Amino acid sequence: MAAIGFPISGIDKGRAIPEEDLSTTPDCNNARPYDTIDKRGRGGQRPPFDKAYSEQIGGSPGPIVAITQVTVVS
Amino acid sequence: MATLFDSWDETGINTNTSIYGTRFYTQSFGATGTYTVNSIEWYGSRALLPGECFIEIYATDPADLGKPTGAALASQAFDADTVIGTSDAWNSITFDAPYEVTRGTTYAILLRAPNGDVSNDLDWRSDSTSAYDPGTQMWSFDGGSSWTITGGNNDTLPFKVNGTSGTPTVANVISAFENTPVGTNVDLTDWQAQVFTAGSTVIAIGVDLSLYATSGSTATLTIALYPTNGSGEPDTSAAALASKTFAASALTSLANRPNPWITADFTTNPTIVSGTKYAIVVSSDTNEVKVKMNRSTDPNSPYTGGEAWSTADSGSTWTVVSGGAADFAFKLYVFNTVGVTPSDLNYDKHLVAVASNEVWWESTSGTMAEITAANGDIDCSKELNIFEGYGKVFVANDSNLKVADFSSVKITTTNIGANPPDPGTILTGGTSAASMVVDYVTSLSGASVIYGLNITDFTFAAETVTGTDDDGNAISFTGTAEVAPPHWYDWTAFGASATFGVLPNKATLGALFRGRAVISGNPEAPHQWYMSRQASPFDFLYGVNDAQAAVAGNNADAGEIGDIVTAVIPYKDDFLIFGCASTMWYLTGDPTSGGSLDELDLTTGIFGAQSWCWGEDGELYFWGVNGIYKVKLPGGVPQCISQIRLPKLVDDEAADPSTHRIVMSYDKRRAGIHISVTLMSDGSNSCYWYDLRTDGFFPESYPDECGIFSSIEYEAVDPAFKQVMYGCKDGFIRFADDSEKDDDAGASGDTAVSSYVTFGPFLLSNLAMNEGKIIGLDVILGADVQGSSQSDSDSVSYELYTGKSAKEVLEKMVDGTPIAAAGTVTGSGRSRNTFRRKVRGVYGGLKLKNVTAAETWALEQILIDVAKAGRLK
Repeated sequence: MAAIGFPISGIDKGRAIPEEDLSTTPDCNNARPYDTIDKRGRGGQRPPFDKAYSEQIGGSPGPIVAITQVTVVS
Repeated sequence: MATLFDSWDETGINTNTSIYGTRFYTQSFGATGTYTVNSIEWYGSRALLPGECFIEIYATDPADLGKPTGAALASQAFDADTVIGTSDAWNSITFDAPYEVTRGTTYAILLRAPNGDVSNDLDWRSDSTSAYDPGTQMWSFDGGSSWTITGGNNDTLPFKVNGTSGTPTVANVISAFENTPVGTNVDLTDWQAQVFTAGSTVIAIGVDLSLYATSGSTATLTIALYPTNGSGEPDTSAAALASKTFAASALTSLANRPNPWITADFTTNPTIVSGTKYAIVVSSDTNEVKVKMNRSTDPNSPYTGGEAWSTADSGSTWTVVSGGAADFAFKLYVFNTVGVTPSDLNYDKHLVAVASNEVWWESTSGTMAEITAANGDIDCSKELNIFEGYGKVFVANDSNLKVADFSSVKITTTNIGANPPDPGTILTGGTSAASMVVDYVTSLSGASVIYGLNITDFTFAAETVTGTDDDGNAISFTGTAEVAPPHWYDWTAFGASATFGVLPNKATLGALFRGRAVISGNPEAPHQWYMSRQASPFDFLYGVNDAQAAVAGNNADAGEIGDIVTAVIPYKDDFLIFGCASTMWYLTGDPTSGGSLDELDLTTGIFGAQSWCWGEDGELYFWGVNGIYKVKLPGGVPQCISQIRLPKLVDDEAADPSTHRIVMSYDKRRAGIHISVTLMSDGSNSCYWYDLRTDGFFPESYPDECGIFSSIEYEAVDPAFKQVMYGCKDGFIRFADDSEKDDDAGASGDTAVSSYVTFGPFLLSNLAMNEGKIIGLDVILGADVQGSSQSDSDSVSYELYTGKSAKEVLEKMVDGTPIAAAGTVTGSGRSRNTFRRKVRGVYGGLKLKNVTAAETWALEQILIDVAKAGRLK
C-alpha cells in the first residue's frame, strides 16, 4: 500500500515527467494546498469569489480599473 | 455602595408633625432614576417610647392628590425606642427587602407609629419654607383612609432616598422655577429649545422638562435632541439624535401644579460628547395653543452652557429667548462612565474604486456610493492609477490629475483677501470658533475654495474667517458654511499658483514616498518622475534649496537616455523602486538629502503598474520579462522564481500590456500571492496562486465577469471586510470567500468552481519491464468523523489512468481519455474500497475533480494498493 498526499508543492512543468516529485503535480486547476473547510495543509478546492458589496461600481458592467483605501480621522 | 438619588434637605423653619396611632404622614417624591432603594433617611426625633414604628414606600394616585395608594411596596419596621433619638437628626432606616423604583414615577414615603400615642410619638420635622416638587407632603389622621395636603403644597418633609444602581444620573439641571411660571407656547410652528453643553462624554437617555397643558389638548408633542450649528443654535435641519413623542393630554392633570416635571426617555440613546452643545427641542403637531413650557427662575444666574431658543417657523430660524437671560427648566439624564464601553478607534477606513469614468467610495461600512462630482471627470479608457495620502486619494489619469479628498472640510469665499493662507495655515471662524489646517486652496486671489482639516468639534458657519500667514500677515475673508467631505477637485499646485510650481501636464502613475506625492508615466516625458515637497502634495516647486523641496529626475546612468517608467513602488520610507519597460531602478533615502538612485536590474522591467506586490518579509514580487520574480532590498538581485517549474509561463500567457492586465496581490491571511493575467477586452483570465508556505504555484481560472483589473489588501475597520478586494471586469468588488462554494459571476449567476488535481504518473512496478496492477484505492476526504463542529468535504470524482510510459499517462490525464477506471467518492472520511477493479500498466496516474455547483472538497489522503501483474507485453 502506498499513501499519497496532496501535491502541496504545486504544478511542475519543468522536469522530466518520470522524475517529478510526488509533492508536485503535472496538471491541476482551481486547487490549493490549504483547503477552505478547515484551512489545513491537506489540499482542496480554491475559495470562490463572492461580491463584497452589492453596488456595481459605475452602475454598469465596466472594469474596476483602480482600487485603494483611504484612512481618515473618525 | 448606596448612592443618594432623591432627597429634600432640611433647609427651613421646621414645624412639628406628631405621628402615632392612626396619624400618618407621607412625603411623595419623583424617582430621578431607576434604582434599588436600600435605605431612607428622615429628619426628626421621637418623644418618649413610641415602640415599633414603620417606614414604607407606596405608589401614588395622580388622580387623587397624589396620595399613597395600594399596599405598601416596601415596608421596614424599626424600634424607635432604640434607634431614634430624642433630638432632631437624620435617621436612616435600611430596608431588609430593598425595592426598585422606576425613573419618572412618583412614590410616597409613609411614616407611622401604630403603638404610640400623643405622648409617645415620632416627629418628622416639616420644612415649611419652600416646596419640593414633584413631591407633596400629606397627612392622614384616620389610618390612611383620607389624605390632606399640608400647607397648601408649600411644606416638605425632609427625606433622603439612597439606592444602588449605575443608571442613570442627572448630568445637567436647571430646576429653579419662576415663582409664577409663565409658560411659553408650543404649537405647530412655535417650537422651544434649550441648548446645553455636555459636561462629559456620556450616553443621553432622556430629559425631564417643565411642561403642562390646558384641558382638551389633542396635540402630540415631540421632545428631541438635536446638534447645534456653528452659531450654537439648534440645528433642526439635521437629523434628530434622539426623540420621544407623547400625548399632551397626559400633561393636563399637571396644569394646576406650579412646577410640573414630565419625563421623556429617548427611544434611542446617543452618546453626547464632552464640551459639545446640544439642543433639547420641543415641538407639536397641532396649531392649538395649549401646551406651555416653563422657564427657570433666576435671570441673574442664567445657565452658562447654552441658551433658551425659540422659533416661529417650525425650526427654519431660531432666536435666543430674552437675550439669553432666561433658560427653560430641564434635567438631562445620562449613563455616565459606569457601564459605558470604551472605544479605542480614532480612525476610519474607506474603500475607493474607479470604473466607467466614475469614482465610488465606501460611504458607510459595507456600502459603496458614487462621488458624483467626479462623474465624467476622468477617462477610464486611458491608463489610470490612484494612491492614498493625507486622507486623500490622488488620481493620475493622463491629463486628468484629480484629488478625492476624504478628510478636508470645504469653505468658499468670493474674495480671499490680500493675504491668502499658506499650506498649513490655521484658519478660525469668527463666531463658530471652528479651526482648520489649510491643505489646499484653489486660488490665491479673488474667489477661492479652501480645503483643510477641521481640528475642532465646531463647524464653520457663514462667517468671517481669520488667521495669520507664514509671513505674519493677517488673513481675513468671509467664508461660507463648511461642507463636509468627500470633495473632488483638480490636482494643481497650491492656489494654482506658480509660487508653488506646476504639475506635469500628464501622469498615469503615482505613489506616496517619504511624505512626497510621486508621479510619473507622463507621455510627454515618459522617463521622468516628479516628487512634491514633503508633506505638501500641492507644492511642486523644484530647485528650492532645502531638503524637503520638490524634486524631479529620471532613471539612468549619466549620459544615457532614461527608460520608460511603468510602475512606481514605494517600500516604507526606505526605498522607491521604479519599474521600467526593460530595467528597474531604486532610490534609497531622499533625493534632496543624500539619497541615491541605482539600477536594480538592467535585464528585466515590470509588466505594468499593478504587476507587483510586497510579500510577508518585505520582499518584492513582480511579473518581469521571464515570469515571476522575487527580490529583497537592499542588496538583493531579482530572481525568477517561476523559471524552474513554469519555464514556459511567459510564452503560455502571451500577455501584451496593450491587451492584458497583470495584477499581483499578496493575501496575508492565506499566506500567498494571487497573480492574475486578464484579457481586458472580455475579462477571460489565467491566474496563479503562489503559496508562500509551500513554495508552489497553483493554476486557477475564474469566470470572465471576475476578471481582475485591480486589487487592494483592505485593512477595514470592520473585520468582515478585512480582505483582499479585487476590482473585477463587471464592476463588482469581490473577495475570496471561504464560506461559499461557487463563484459569483454577477449577471451570469453562481458558477461552479471546476477544480481538479492530478497525482503521478507513478510507477506501478519495481521492475522496469514489469507491469503492476492497482487492486485497491481509497480516497479519504476531509470529514467530520465524530459529528463535531467540523465541516465535511463534498464528493469528488476520480479517474485512473495507466500506460507504458509516464508521458503516456500524463497525456491521458490531460486529455481525460482513455480512462482505465473511474468513480465518485461520495462519503466523507474513509470509505473502504473506493475502487475494487484491477487496472494494470507500468505507470499509473490519478485525477480527482469536482465540477458540481454548490460543492467544495478537501482531501486527507489517498491509499493505493498495487500488486505485480507480470511482464510488459
